[in-house]
Amino acid sequence: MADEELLLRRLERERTARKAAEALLEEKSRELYLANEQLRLARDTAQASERLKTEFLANMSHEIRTPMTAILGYTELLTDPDLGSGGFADCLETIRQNGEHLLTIINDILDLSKIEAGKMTIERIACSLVELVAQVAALMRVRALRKGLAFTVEYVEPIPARVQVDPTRLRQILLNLLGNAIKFTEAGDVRLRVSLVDDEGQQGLLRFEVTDTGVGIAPEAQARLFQPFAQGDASTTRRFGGTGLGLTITSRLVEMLGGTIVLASAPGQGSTFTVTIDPGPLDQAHMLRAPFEVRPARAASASSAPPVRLDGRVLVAEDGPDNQRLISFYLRKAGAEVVLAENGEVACTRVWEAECAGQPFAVVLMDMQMPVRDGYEATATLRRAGYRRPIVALTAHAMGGDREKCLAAGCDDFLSKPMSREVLVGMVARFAAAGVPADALPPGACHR
Amino acid sequence: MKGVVFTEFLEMVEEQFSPEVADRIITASDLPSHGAYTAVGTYDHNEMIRLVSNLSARTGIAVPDLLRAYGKRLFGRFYLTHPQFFETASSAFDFLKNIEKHVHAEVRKLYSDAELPSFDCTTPHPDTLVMVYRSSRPLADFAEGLILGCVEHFREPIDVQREDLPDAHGTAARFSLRRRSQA
Repeated sequence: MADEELLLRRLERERTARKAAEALLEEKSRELYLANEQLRLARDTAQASERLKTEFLANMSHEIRTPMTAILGYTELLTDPDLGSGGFADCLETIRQNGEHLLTIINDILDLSKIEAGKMTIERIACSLVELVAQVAALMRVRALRKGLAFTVEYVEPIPARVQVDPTRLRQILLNLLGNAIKFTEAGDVRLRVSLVDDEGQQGLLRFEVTDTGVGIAPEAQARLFQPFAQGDASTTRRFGGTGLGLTITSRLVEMLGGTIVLASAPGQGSTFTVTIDPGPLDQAHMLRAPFEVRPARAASASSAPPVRLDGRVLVAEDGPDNQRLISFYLRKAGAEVVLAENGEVACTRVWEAECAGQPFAVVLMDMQMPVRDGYEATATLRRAGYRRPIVALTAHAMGGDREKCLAAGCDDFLSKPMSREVLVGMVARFAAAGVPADALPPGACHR
Repeated sequence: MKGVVFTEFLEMVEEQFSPEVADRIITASDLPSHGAYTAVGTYDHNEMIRLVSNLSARTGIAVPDLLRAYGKRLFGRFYLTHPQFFETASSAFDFLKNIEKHVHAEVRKLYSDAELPSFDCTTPHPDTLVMVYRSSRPLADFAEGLILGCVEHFREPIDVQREDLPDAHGTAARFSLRRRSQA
């Protein structure tokens, strides 16, 4: 009997232990399944992102090759003896347009990769809403009028005098949406409506509505509109131009500003893009009603300004022969005397020679990436030795932070390549006009 | 404490003493688990301490001796159940130095919640291995048994000296293993 009881107790323990083991097994299996699901999800996400990257690259390559083909093709055409003078001018205009388009693509790609990499930072600065909108409107009005479109800005009063936003990014958003509206509208008008909308008892949200009477967007196309390289339809690029990145960048920027972007559109009935962003803390005492006093925004109309004249000597430190020639040509045409240096080392020598000969340079244009000694080092060396005349950095590095790097090396200002003739000459003129400090060199510098 | 330590212990008691002794000490220990252990489960280490104490009371063998004997036996069982851990080790020193890296790492893969003791190893001399055992549980005797089991397994002439660390009460000890020169 005692043995039987012992066996029964053992049996009971074994049974309990088995059930505990089974329960554990079940629990572990479930954990394993869930872990597998998570891994599967992570794998799918990684694969999808890989696919998107490949597609992006393929699209990018296509977008770059298209204007490149035109540039190279038309350049070759220029050497054709049968090309008349009219054809010559046409070729040049086509090359210029495609070059500009290429630059837009590169800038858009840089912007988008900066956003995707989380490198784009958003700041909040107090600024005048009316002034910001007026600046944007001044640029866009010219473009709309050129196409024969009416362009109106409407404020729903009252609106805040000052808002705390990132003015650069907000400007970029508005320029993009208005630019699109003008591009896709053949007749009628483009409107920008600015209002402060109720935010469930909160202080309110800033709303911008961009409405056009253009081609409109089919519902099925609306969904992929904010995806990179997915314009309304595949033929859009050819009919209207553009990189297919504008709305992607715009929507990401809106997101980064903590806002939303909504589209209402139908084919043939125009479109309205509504952007709503947080205006930051508002001063309710300073609400504006029309008419607003706006400092006149200067429309960038280069052609009407008289050409800038330069005098004095300019050192161009640049290692690329083509850029050397181009920059020299621009500056000499404007009246400057140009001295060239093919690297940073030579640039330093030329600066000292000029100083000692009593013929100093009014401005040094310094390419930052050069052989032997680069522009950062050359600038820093000159500054350390006490050189105080203007040095302007000239660089093809156009990412955020490059400007700061140039200024930190001792440059007075920064120009990113490619730069237009007007901007280059304007910059040199500005520094040349500022005059040369009498004590630009420390005493005794010429006797070393 | 992992269930395998309990199941192996009870098997040892059944074999070395009798199933009846095992049953008695389980009953006497009044365990939260009622002694129904599964190797893959996790149980309070105090259950082990109660079981060993009751086994000692019943058999008249001192607790440290029981723990050492059990450690030695468990190491032998370990070789049978997990031969893969022995594939790369050619000597006792080899095996013991890699406990953290190989054995404990594998345990953690299966049981992320396992509370494992640590063995800090130093080799002041090619024929000397010093292992400092530290645990949240007072089981230095058990650790000693495992080390002795390892030495026995590799059939090497190694002397094991144990020194309890001050105020550790069995939770920390220094083991000095010296290989005798084989004349």
